[in-house]
Amino acid sequence: MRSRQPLLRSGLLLLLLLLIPFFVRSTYALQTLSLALQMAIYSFSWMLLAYSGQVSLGHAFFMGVGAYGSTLLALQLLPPLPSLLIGPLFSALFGLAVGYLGARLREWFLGMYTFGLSVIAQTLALSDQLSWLTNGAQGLFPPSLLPSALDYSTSVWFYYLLSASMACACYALVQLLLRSGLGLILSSIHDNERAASSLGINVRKYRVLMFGLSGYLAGLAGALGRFTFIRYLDPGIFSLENSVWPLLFSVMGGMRYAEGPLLGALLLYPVSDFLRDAVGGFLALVFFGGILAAVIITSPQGLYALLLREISGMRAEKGGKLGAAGGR
Amino acid sequence: MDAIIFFQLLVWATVSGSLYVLLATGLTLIFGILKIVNFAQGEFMIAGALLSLVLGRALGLNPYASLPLSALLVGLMGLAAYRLAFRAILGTTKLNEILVSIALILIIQNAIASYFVPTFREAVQLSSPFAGEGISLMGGLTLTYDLILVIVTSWLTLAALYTWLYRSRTGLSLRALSQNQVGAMLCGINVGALGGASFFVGVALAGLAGTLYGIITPFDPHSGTLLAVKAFAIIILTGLGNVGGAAIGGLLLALAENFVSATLGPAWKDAAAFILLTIVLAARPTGLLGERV
Repeated sequence: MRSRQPLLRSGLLLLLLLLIPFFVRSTYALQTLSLALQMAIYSFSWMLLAYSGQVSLGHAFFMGVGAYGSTLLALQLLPPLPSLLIGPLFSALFGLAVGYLGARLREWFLGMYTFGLSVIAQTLALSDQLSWLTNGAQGLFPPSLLPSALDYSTSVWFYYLLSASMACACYALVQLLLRSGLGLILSSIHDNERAASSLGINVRKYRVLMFGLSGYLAGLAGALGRFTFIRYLDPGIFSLENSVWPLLFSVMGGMRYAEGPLLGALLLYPVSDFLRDAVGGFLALVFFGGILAAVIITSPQGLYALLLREISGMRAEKGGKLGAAGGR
Repeated sequence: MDAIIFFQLLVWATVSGSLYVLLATGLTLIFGILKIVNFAQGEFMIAGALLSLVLGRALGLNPYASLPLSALLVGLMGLAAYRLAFRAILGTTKLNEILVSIALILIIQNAIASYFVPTFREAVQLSSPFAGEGISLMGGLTLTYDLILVIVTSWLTLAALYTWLYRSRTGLSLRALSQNQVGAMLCGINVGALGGASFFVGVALAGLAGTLYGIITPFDPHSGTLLAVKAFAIIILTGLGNVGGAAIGGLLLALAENFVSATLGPAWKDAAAFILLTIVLAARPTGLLGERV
């Protein structure tokens, strides 16, 4: 059932994504798709953490720290492209610190702790004491990755290219990680921490490590968004809504599969975008809350698991035998 | 520090502390029975404030009169949420329970906002019949009746809750259930019904806190989140399931943050709880009172 070629899969996906602009001429559609791909990176970040059994309910904290880090670097020190890659190191560092401090917290308590982080980060980013750094509610204006002379549709094309290649790189990374020995270790920590540590696994080390990696990817997604389409950065980035999207996309897509966050973000981000225009942001979130609850109650393994089951069911029918290769 | 400022801080700390205690007690009660942390506690709280506001406008009730009614309605909302969402996934995995409570936050907060934001646009305060009146103290200070009533209502409610928990048969069953579920079942305690009861009471406490909050300060659909985070911080600090600990923790936190606010600035007031929590986690990961978290 499981193919052994993660690089091939992500390469094919990239190829597919690169073909899309030749058929889709609408700038708006490309922009939506790029934002969905950035959301996929952000969802990968959440999903990697969840894969090791850690739930973050304040992932916007890492996204925001990465975005602020990159923007400040780009405004003060470096050209935009290196800052885009170096800035998220700040959120990785914060991730390591949070992982270390929260290493003894489980389940609910870790959730609360990370949830609190994002709330507090927002109040501090707005405070007078830190306004020399964050410029308070007025916010910062991240620089463009491209020369400003370029027309908008060319920039969107470039942004799309960048988002697609980064998302595919993340997809490859997550697949490789999930199939590696580290993936097994993380899975064992997720299933039973005590049993894992009795086998000599240094649980704390891996949990902290995953917080660092997850922090980097979340920061990267945040910085990428702010350097491309949303060229404005204010403390609103730490909002609860921002923390909830990667969770929604990963859970609905299937959080035990590398394909889950990708599927969730690519399918549901456009839906959320449409709903926001059609019924307003608040009702769109009510809708997604309802869907989330329904998914968890009825099929907690997500869309990708359902898809796998369908495929294996069809194969079994074709071969005339019962679903032997059923994806769990 | 000036004696007058000190006194003012003390009063405000007692008021906000009382509200934290109500929220944290509700959380603790639900956790004790169902082993769920109701993340949406802050949202239920704002629902309570909003219901009092709407009842006040529609029926002309003053907030103290609509207080029991809105708490009851919020409790019923909680019961519905428990029946529809939580009961289906109870005991599957912790992650599912966490995700369902996040779904609940999304639904309640945004449903409130979709009504609140177009109607009121900005934060509103409940119109109390005693607005501005109070007892004059030395130094030109006024202790408003509202502050006194809020403190008295909170602690009377808590006293009633404790009496119920420690003097009634239902309370006895609840305490038994929080100690050992299997043992309680063997004694013929109806676990399903009591789970619903604890959710109802825990959420109703939040609704009550919401109306009280709305009486003393303006609220908007998002003001519940931060308060709930603080209530979480309190129960992490003092240990879950420890109802007395929640009371002490709530008051201590309110004192600490009001002093931080007076010295460092209001933004740091909200961070104080969290910084305190981080320090405690780093130094004593099992909470201040030594219970395992």
